Amino acid sequence: MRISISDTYQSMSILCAGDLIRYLEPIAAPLLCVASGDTPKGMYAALVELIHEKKIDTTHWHFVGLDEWAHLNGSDQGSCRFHLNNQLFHPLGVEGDKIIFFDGRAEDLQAECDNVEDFIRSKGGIDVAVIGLGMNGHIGMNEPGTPVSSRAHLADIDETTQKVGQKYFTAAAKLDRGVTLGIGSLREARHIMLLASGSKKAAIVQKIVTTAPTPVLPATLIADHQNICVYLDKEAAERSVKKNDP
Amino acid sequence: MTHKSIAGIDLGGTNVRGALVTGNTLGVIRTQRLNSRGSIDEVLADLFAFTDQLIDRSVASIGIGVPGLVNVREKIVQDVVHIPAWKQVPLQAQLEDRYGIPVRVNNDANCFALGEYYFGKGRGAGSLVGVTIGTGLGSGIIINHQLYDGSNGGAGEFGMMEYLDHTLEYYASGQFFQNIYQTDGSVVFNAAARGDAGALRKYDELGFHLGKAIKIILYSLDVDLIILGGSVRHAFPYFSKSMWHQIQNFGFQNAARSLRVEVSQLENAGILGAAALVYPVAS
Repeated sequence: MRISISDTYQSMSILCAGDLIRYLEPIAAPLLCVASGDTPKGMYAALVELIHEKKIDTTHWHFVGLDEWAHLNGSDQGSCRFHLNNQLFHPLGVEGDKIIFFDGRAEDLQAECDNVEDFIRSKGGIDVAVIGLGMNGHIGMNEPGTPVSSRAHLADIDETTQKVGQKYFTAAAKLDRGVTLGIGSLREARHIMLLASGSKKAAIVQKIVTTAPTPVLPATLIADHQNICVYLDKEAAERSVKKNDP
Repeated sequence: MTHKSIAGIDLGGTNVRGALVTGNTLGVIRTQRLNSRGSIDEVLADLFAFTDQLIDRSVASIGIGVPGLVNVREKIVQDVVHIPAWKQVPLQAQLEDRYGIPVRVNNDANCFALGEYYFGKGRGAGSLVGVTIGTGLGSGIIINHQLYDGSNGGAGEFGMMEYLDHTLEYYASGQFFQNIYQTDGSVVFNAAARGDAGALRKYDELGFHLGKAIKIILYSLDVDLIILGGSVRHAFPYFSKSMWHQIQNFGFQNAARSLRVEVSQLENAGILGAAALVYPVAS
């Protein structure tokens, strides 16, 4: 596991965007897995800016959404798709057929899961997965207890995550379940970028980088991936690095 | 003098190969397995046993290539990939003591470049870089008809340069398939030969990274000729297009235009190049 620590959230976001471009550049039609959330938001802004500035052709890029709340889809304010539409897909002008995203409103959520896995397979796998680190160590909606071999599935959401998730909504939302790519699905990605920012993540970051793989902390189950980099700002890293000050 | 032979020896990780080179003629290739897990002396004993069999009265000198760092000035093999015990081995002195004839030792990628320079696609060229693409990425540099191996024998180790999140050879050698796709290079090669689209895409990516590697070589040395060796060269038809696509946007257009990238046709460039180590011009 490589760990990259940036001075500020802004510089971390710019670094992530640059690394992502470099990973995708050699690939003719890359598949990018994207997480929504406050942490990767800055990276998406930097990515959109970089793509426009360097006139990078993204017409052959494909996207898969990491997760979605059950009962919600892109038409719902606060849904994962809604945020990614605004932060990434619309600014880049990504066509709808280049995106596969869980429709949390679908009646048959298991069929949604199969669809998403099929799409990933048809594109030859995920090239880069951008993932945020949850307060309890979750990745996507893989909450503590999720097995390492899990595929896309309907998940029960941990209470911590339900509370934290309210910040994305203007009114109280029912966030007890979600659909998510599994840990096994994510482990098959060629590159994993795991992001965490802010001092509130410092404790969980410290646990993830020091704990042997365990389902109790889902992020530890991808920590041994061959090509994973953990991107932190200084605040998120404050408990994990030795201070240089006397 | 013209009837004298040179013993060319290519020490690999698992076996040692060699032949006598007489003028432009390569004799019968001999191969012997090597106990690469053995001690310094055990591996040396294997090498001596092999060399005893290989040489005869016609042999006037011995050249040997090893897969590792060789300090030619201090005549020390410092480190050998796949033979853990071999650190700081005075191989040249050991062989000279035993056989009483001059011995030259160098890195195997340097031998590959020399082999190509004297016997292969490099004949007639003044400068070239031989790039071996196998499980790693190594290179041998010939500038103005001279092998350049640096002050400590480490010149041309482009594969060790930092690149993306790892080193260049992580992406631009046979390791790529395992490192990025968790699959074996030979599996991808066979699939590409059947026209499998996924396999061909993987080679496109490898070609992208190799193109980057070649640009690094051009920025460093501005040579007109690069010769590709190593097992991955057989996949050249699959990665050449994307490799050239990368090279097209090289900063100095004259250098990109005059560049030739050739694929080695020599099956035994390493042995030939090891023998060529004793040629006056190379040493």
